[in-house]
Amino acid sequence: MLRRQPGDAPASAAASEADLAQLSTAIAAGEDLGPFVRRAFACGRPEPLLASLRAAARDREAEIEELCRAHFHDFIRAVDDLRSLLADADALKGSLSASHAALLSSAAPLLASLESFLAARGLAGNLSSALASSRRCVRLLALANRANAHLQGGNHNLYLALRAVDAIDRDLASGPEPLPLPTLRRMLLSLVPAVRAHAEREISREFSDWMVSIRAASRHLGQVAIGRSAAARQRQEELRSKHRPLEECITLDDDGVGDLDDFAAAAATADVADGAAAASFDLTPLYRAMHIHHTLALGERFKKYYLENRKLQLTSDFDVIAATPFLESHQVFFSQIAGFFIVEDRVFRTGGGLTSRPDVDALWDSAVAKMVSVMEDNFSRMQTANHLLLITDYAALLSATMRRYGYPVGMLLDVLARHRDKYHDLLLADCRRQVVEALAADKFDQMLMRKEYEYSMNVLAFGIQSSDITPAFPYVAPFSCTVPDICRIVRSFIEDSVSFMAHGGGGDTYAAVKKYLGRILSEVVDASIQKLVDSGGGLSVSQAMQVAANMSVMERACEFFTGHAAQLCGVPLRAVERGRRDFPLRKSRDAAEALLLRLLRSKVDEFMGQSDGVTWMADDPPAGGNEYANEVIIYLETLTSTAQQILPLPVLRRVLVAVLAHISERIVGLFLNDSVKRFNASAVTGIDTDLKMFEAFGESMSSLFVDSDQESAANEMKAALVEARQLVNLLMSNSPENFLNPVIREKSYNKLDYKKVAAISEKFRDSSESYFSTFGTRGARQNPKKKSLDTLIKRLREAS
Amino acid sequence: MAGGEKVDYVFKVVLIGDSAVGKSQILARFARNEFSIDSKATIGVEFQTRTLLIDHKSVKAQIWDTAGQERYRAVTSAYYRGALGALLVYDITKRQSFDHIPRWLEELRGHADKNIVIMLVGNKSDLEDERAVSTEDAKEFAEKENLFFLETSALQATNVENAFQTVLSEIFKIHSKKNMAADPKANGAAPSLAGKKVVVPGPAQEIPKSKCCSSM
Repeated sequence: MLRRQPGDAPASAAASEADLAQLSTAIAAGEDLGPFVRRAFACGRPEPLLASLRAAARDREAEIEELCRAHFHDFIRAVDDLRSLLADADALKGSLSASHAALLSSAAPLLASLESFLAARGLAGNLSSALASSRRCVRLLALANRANAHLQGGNHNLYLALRAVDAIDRDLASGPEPLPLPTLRRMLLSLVPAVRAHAEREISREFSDWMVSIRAASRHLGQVAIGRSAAARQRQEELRSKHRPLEECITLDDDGVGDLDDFAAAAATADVADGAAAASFDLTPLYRAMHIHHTLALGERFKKYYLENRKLQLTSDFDVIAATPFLESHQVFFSQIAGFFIVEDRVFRTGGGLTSRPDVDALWDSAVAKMVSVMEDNFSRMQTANHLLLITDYAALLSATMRRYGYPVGMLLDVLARHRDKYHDLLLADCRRQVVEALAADKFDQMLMRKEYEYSMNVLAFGIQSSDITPAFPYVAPFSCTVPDICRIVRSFIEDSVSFMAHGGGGDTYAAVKKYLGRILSEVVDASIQKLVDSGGGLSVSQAMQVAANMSVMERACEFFTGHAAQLCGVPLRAVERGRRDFPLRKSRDAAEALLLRLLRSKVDEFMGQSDGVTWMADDPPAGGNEYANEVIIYLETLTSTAQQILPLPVLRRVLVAVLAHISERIVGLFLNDSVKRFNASAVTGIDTDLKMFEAFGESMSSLFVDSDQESAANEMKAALVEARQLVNLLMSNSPENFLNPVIREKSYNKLDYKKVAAISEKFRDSSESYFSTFGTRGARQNPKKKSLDTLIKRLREAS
Repeated sequence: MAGGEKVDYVFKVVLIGDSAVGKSQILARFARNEFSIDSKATIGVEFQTRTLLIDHKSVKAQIWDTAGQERYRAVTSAYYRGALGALLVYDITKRQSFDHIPRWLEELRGHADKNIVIMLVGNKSDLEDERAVSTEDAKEFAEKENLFFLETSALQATNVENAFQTVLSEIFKIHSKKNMAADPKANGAAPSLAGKKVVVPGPAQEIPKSKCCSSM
């Protein structure tokens, strides 16, 4: 601070005071005084500035002296303090030396104790370290011991053994420091992989054993599963069709498996001898193997191993059939495959990803391809229908079984369906042989039955009884033994066809069976009978009649066949009756009737062939008709008495009408015969008598047809003889020229042929002329009949 | 097995009767000497074959068995088709199985060839203490129906061989006659079968005289 001196005069101006104020401020602030100096000298008046500066300097020096004086006093006091302190320090130094000496004297024993303590502590640390190391070794050895115990305990303890070994491995790998005992460490390091290798080896061996046992068990399992499918199918069939009497009396042994699944059923039905097989349905070894491999980090490898080995096993299953004929080995073959895939299905569902759906599907596809190939190969070489049926039936059961497990069986069923025609062709060939044998063995006599069961077996069984009343025994049937034999063959065919169709492929069973039934009836039965009939085969008239009679019985049997097929297929009979069809054996029936007629005509011709039987130029008509006519009548009467016992009335009627028509033809033929040159009125009268006898026979026969229209039957019989009747009427007429009148001809002679009439009239005129010529010599007039006859002949010649 | 052998005849023989009368055991006993696939409890039909010599001819017997599924309908007809012989089996300890024989016979005659050779077989003859069907009853039925008759024990192998031998020999006779009839040239060469002894009865067993099945 600037102090104002009393001696200074206030001579400066106001401006000088401002400058001084600024200068003071600048000096106080420590600023640069350059600008002030330059401004003073620039103004030319530096003296006030210099005076201010000198004043300021004096002030400063005064302050400095004051400050130095104060500091000097402080310094002196400080020096005094230091001297005092020095004395105190000397005193303290002495005290300290004394304390140090005392301390040393008392601390010496304590130091010894401390050293002992430190040594003991080091020792304790070593011991702790040793104990920890020992404890670790003991734990490792305990784990090893436990692993060993588990290993000795069998494969079901392998997992626990591996866990123990894993613990050892973790300790060795991640312990705080390496194991201090090198020998033990080396041993354990070699033990761990050895145990793992052992575990893998043991579990693989067990797995291999399981594979072997599951294969044997699979066969049993497949058999049981297919058996259950068969039982289920049988129950359905029993519900659908009527039981035969035999079946109602027999109790089917129920295996008691009820609704158990196939594994449980197979285990339940295993015999004591199959105890091992039953135990092998247990999949535990497989689960264990999978788990162990997974624990060993070999899960993926095991999956591959499992799949490959199962493929090999399946391939080996395919070779089951190699050593034995397929017919005898097919059940084993199919059962083995069925069991294989039932096991595979369970493994897929319970194996936790051991197999995948694509894997199982691939296995199944290869199995299906193999089965298809084997069946096709064997079917192509098979020549017996029931062998084919046995195999296709079992294959169908296999398909039903595998469908229960969700496996696609379309290709299998396709094979069965593809061989449907082959099967039926074999069946038809076998039936054809049987039918031909039956026909060849038949003597075509009426069949004799002595016992009721024979009647039941040969008549009632095929619905061919004449009435619902059981006849008295011995019973003579209207048919020969061929009829029930053929019925048995056809029924057997129907049953075999239904057996195939019902399970051998899809589609409408009844429609297909009906088609094949039509084939056997037309291609086998109808064709065989027709062939027999067409060949004649040396059959007699009575035998031919029996064949014709058989055909009418077969017509009723054919209705039975259709009904039987429907019943076996589960189709109601009402639907069948609606679709009633024509008689399928019509050709052979017509052929049989034709044969009978052919033989009857030959017989008639044989009788009428006795040319000496008719006297064409007799003086008098033969009394009672010509000899041939009597013989024919006797023959026909004998024939009819037999025929009406076996032939149905419509057939008998048709036969009689045809025979009479033939007789009519033959009578006309007699007149036309070249060996007859002339005949007279007596001969015509004789023929007229014969004709009346035949007409009377026809009239009497018509009484047989009281059930149908008797009058129409009589008319038919008469119509059959009309040609001969008209010819005889013409020849006996007094006005034969009336034949030329269209109205009269249409009314009375419509069946006569121009040329025949001309030829016959010529023969008649000659004889008439000769007769009347003799009479004419007496001079009598010409006979009017002769004239009429001449007119007729002349006109007919002109017409021709 | 069959591939290497030359067989002159193959005869199909069927076993029929109630379940549990021992048909399968009879079959197993007869066919025991021939290798066969292990096929226990097969479905519907099982058959085994055995080849034997009859009058210096190789005859393969194809024996069919229902394996306990008598009502397995799918093969009922096929089962009988082509069968030349049949064993009608009942259990001598179960009267009902014998009472069912007429129905089995009816089914057999209704399905099989009329010339089939049929033998009535009473099985389980070792269970004499439990006998429920007398030998006289069975013999009377067999005579009435023109059947052969034997009592057997599959367990003790009693008469099983005889039963099959008798049926097969009879079939052989019939077939030989057919062959001779079909081929007249063979008449001189074929040895005579008259009086040929083919069945050797065991002690206390009576073999009925040979009877051909009559035409129905």
